[in-house]
Amino acid sequence: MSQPRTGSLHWLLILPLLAVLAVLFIAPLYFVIERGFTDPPGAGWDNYQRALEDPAARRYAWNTIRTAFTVTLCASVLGYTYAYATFRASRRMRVFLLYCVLVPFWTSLLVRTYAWAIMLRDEGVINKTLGSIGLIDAPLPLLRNSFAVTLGMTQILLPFVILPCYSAMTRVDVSLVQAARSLGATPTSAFFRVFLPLTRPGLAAGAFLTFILATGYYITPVLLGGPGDQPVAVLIENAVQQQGDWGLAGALAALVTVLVLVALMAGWRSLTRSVLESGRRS
Amino acid sequence: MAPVAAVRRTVRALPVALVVMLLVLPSLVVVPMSFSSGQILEFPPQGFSLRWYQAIASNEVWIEAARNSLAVALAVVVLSTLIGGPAGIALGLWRWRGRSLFLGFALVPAVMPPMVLALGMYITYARFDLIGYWGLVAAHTVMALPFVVLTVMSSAQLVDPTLLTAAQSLGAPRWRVLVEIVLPLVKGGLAAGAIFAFITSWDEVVVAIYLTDPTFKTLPVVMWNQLRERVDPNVAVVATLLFAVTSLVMAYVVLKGERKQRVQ
Repeated sequence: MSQPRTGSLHWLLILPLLAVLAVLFIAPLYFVIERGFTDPPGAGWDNYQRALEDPAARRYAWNTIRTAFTVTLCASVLGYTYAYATFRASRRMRVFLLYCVLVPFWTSLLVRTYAWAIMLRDEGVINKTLGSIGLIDAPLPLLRNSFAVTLGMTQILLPFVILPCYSAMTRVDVSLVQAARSLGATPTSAFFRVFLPLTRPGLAAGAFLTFILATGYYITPVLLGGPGDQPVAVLIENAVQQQGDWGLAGALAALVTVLVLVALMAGWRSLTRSVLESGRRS
Repeated sequence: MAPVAAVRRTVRALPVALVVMLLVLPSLVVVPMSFSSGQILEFPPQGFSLRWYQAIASNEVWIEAARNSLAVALAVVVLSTLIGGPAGIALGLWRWRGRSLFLGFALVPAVMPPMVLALGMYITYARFDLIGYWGLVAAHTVMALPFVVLTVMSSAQLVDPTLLTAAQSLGAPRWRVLVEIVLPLVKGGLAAGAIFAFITSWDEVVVAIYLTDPTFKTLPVVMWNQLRERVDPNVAVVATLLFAVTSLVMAYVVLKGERKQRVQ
């Protein structure tokens, strides 16, 4: 596939990127984490101890991880199903379904999130409709809770599951599924024992990506969540904005970064495999 | 038999229909809200009027913010394609030691929590007096680079290596092969990367909140401030206009791609 002899030309091509990321990305990351050790002077690991022992911080951490898991689960199940339906659909339907995946990207993330807030509130269109057909007496509490956060984040992160899953499905050799069927497998068992394992790298890539991105979310929980749904990002912001506590913010930032990097390494194989193969024949 | 099959088909289509709703609903409700004649942002909207469109057209804050956003996003597109494009080519064209490690490094900015990036960039760029236009361009370039690298890499992977060998064996120096053969072949990837870079910058809120100041605000920052204070249909108008513009761009891209496929 690739040309074997490259000499050192590739260095020339990646050098600008390395330089830019070192100065504009790694340096900022270093300085914010450094604050965790030097603010107040001589803090050492004190800020980390504070971050890990503070019950409030633990609650925020739990919110972050719980939400990320729920969203990953919802997005994976819905996204895989949707990708499969797209894969099996007629040409025309397939174009339509793929088009729908792209629509969210055209609307500002802020506005999409706020649109949920408007639809979900007590006087919103959902509660009004349910009330007018007599299904409910009092408005359902749909906003300012984990349900709203999960809904909003799943909406935003779904394409990140659907696209790698769909791309993995288009690379499956369909004759393998047909072989399983002709050897007596029911459609269900052919799906679960042949098709699903073959497309698992795509699903894994999407799920890892969703989890990693979800841990960093800030806008959606702030606009849709209640006090019990606020993630670590909000705690970091509060530390800086309300208390000027850059030490704590630095320690928390370091912890979140470590969490992201650990998740990234856990999903490394499936992510790179999905990324490196997505360009290959489809 | 037939009704059973029909029921089964409907049941099977239900989850897909739900996901379609989930994907497009938030984008769609915004449009009617922008034509509201009422005072607040609500759905379904009250009455129909163009008053909020008129309000936007004469509001300096929004126009100024749109101009700022556009200026930042265009600079980000240029810088991220110039820097990320070559790296994407190197990743997609050849295998070399450390390739997948470098790929990982190049992609990390896209998955970093924005709040961590925002604080780090704030304290670092402030030292160099970079808060404002250039600071935001730098920050968004970092966040857009992974997308450019990815899209260019996937189109460079499709380049037929025999073309390169042929050109080289005919005596073309390596840089000429890159410029005259590879570059035209990865143009599509570069264009896709440029679109992603534009959207990344255009829609970014968290980092922008920290790297802008009262004299220089971008569209998402103004929206964010509005949404946290008093919510009138202004926001819906801006969103609708943006939706219209991006839909047109995407429709153009899709149609162009279709035509190209048909020609081939």
